[in-house]
Amino acid sequence: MQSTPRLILQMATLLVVAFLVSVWSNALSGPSRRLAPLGVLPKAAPPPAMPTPNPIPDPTPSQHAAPEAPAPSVAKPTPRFEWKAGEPSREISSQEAAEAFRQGIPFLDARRTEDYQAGHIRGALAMPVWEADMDERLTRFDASGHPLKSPVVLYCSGGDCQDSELLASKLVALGYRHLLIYRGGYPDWATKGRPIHRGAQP
Amino acid sequence: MKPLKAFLCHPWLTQRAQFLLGGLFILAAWPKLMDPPGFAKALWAYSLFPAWSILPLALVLPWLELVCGAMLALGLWVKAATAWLGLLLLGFTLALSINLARRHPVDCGCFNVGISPSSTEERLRDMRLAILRDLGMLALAALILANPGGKAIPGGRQQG
Repeated sequence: MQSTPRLILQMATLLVVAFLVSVWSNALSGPSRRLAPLGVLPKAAPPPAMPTPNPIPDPTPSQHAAPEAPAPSVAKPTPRFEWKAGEPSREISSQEAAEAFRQGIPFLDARRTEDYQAGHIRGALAMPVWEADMDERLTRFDASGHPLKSPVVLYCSGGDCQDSELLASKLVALGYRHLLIYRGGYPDWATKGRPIHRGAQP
Repeated sequence: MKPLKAFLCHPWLTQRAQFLLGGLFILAAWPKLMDPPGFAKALWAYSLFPAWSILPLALVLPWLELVCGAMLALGLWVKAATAWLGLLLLGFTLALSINLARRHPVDCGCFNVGISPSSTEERLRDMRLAILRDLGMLALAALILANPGGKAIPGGRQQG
């Protein structure tokens, strides 16, 4: 009969071997297959997984804007994307996403690199939240000088995909305060026949 | 009962259970090893693990599955490897059961880390099947651990 201390020692050895090999393997992997460094993952979403969306504001100029928000102008052509204090991110509909695209608002794709390469919203930047070079990509986007209170559209795979929310939490941590989460994501966009592009990010 | 016990503890059966369980875990580990970020995403979707634990788990679990599966198939450190696999199976079964109980559909992430485009009901059904499969594998682990002789596969090291 095997003694318990010996069994525990063998189990510990197996764990240590697995740990060492995993660290070595992760270090050798390419960026799209490597896990991001520890400590970059936001808190896991509580059940039932889908975060409560903020209400989509009425397309007409809001009368409930916070005092520090810019006053809505009647002549302003983009009333539905005005910035609101205390609402760093909110969900937008498919139509609003199309409108944002027409207005040239930047789109960030939170899906995996291989999904992005298989097809993405034209002009969208790849921001694969689960991959190791995510912080580097975010730093590049941040360095591009995009104003913190200007809108940015985030999307992933639709359904219960939460990668957009993960990306939003990282952008909020960087100071961005006007994030528009396109819940339908790429599947909705492609189904509606809107402009897409295939291949890697130029 | 005696013939049943004799059958269940027969080295022939135990050796095949070792091969089967070891092989299944090697198969299960492979897609996770090929895509650790995908497995991390699958773990995160369970909404059960603390955020700080997701990445270490996604990194180490597939290798632990592979190492233990290989040891088991080769007949080395059979009890230690089976004990780890049994613990992992218990954890997977519990995690799936909790999410099934609260009707939170998740992709198992057991044998593949891709996201299923299925409906909520289909995914809940898949979770029930995954729990049944895990219980079957747990029974195999119990069979291996319960073999009092702990006979290893010929050519492998004897246990105990």
